[in-house]
Amino acid sequence: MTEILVPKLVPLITVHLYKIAVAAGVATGLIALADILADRRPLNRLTMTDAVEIGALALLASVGTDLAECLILPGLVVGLAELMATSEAIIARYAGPKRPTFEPLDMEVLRTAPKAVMIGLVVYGAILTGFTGGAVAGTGAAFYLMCRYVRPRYEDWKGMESISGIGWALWVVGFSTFFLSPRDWLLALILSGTGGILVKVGPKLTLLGYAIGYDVQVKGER
Amino acid sequence: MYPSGQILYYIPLGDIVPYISTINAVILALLLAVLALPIFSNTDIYVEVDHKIPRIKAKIVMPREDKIKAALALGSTMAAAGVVTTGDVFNFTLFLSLLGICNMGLIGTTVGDEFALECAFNYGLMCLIAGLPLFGGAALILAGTGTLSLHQLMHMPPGAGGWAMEYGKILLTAGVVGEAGVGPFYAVKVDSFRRIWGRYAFVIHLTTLLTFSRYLEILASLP
Repeated sequence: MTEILVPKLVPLITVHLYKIAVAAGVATGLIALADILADRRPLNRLTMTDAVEIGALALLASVGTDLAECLILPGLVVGLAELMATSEAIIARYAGPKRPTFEPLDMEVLRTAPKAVMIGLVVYGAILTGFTGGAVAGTGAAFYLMCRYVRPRYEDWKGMESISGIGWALWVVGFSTFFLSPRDWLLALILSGTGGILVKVGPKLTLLGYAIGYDVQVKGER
Repeated sequence: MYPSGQILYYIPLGDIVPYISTINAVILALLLAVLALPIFSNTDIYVEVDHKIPRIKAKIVMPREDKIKAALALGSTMAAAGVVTTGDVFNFTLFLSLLGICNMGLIGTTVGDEFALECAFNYGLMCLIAGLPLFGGAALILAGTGTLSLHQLMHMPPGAGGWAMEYGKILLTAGVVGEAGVGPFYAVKVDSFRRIWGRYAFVIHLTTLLTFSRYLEILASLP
C-alpha cells in the first residue's frame, strides 16, 4: 500500500506519522465528547462541538496530498455553516430578539502597533501573491481598521467593496484566458493570481475590519 | 461490478461523474414525489391533540413562515438528490451535511415555539458531532486507496487500502448514522417531528431515510 501511493521522496518517518495523526484527531473528538458529557450547559455544548469539528479537520489534513488540501476548504465551510446555524438557534432561544451589547477592547498593542503591523503584513502579502498573500495583506489591513486608537474615517474606505468586485472580474478574465488561448498563460497567471485573488481576498478581509471598526466607533451598539 | 444494477446514464459534470443506476432511479423518483407532496398539498391549519390535558390546539400558518419552510424543503430535497446521484465519496458527505443544515432550518423556523428552537439546537449539535466520523471516514478512504471516485473504488480488488479502508468504512458508517438520524440517534428527530406542525415532517423523514438506503449501496461498492 505505502509503496504505491507514497512517492519515494517522502521520508519513512512522515509516512508512519499518519497513524499518530489519525489517533490524535479521533482523540480530540473523544475528549470533546467527554467534556460535553461532563458539562451540559448549552453554550459549553456548542463550543465543544466546534472542537469536534477541529478533530475532523485534523483527520482531513493529515492525509497531506493535493486532493486533501482541496477537501479541507469545503469541509471547513460546511462545518462553519452548521456552527452558525446552530448558534443562531441558541441565540434566538436564550437571548430573544435583542442582541447583547459589548465594550470595545482596550489593549496597548492596539494603540501603538497598528501602522507597523499593517505595513509589514501588506508588503509580505504582496510578495506572496495569490490566495495566501491576499489573506495576509487583508489581515494587516483589517488589523489597522479594527484598532481603536487610529480610528480612521470610515467614509474614506467605502469604495472597498467595488475593488473586490473588480478583482473578481479580473479573476474571471484570467481564468477564461487559460481556456481560450493557453499560449498567453503568463498574462492569465498574473491576471488571476496577482490582480484577481490578491485584490479580491484582501478587500474581503478589509471589509470585515471595516464592519468591526464601525461597531467600535458607535460604542458597540448596532 | 456495480452493486446497484445497470448504469442507465452518466451525468457529464466534471470529475465527480454522477450517475443514475437502477436503484438510484427508484430512490430519485421517490424523492421527487416527496418534494411534490408539500407543493401540491394546501393545508394551512395544523391541529395537534394533547392527550394529557384533553384539548385540541390549532394553528393557522402565516404565508411567510410557509414560504420559508417551502424553500428549505426544496433545498433539503435537492441536497438529497445530490446524495443519491453523486459518484464521489467526499461529495456524498458534503451533500449530507447540507441536508442536515436544511433540516435543522425546517425545524427551527417554526414561529412562536421555543421548544422547536431547542430541538433544532439538538439536531444541529448531532449533525456537527457526526461531522467528525463523516469527514474522517472519507479522509481515511482517500489515504488508503488514493482516490475518492466511486467508479474507481468499485473496480479495486477486495482488501485494497488495508487498515485505513476498514477503519474508514467504520467511521463513515458512524457518521452517516449520526447525520441521517438513524438507529440510536433517532431520538433527536422524534421531538422535532411534533414541532414542525405538518407536512414538512415528511420531507425530513424521507430524505434522511432514502439517504441511508443510498449509503448502503455505496458501502457495498467500496472494496
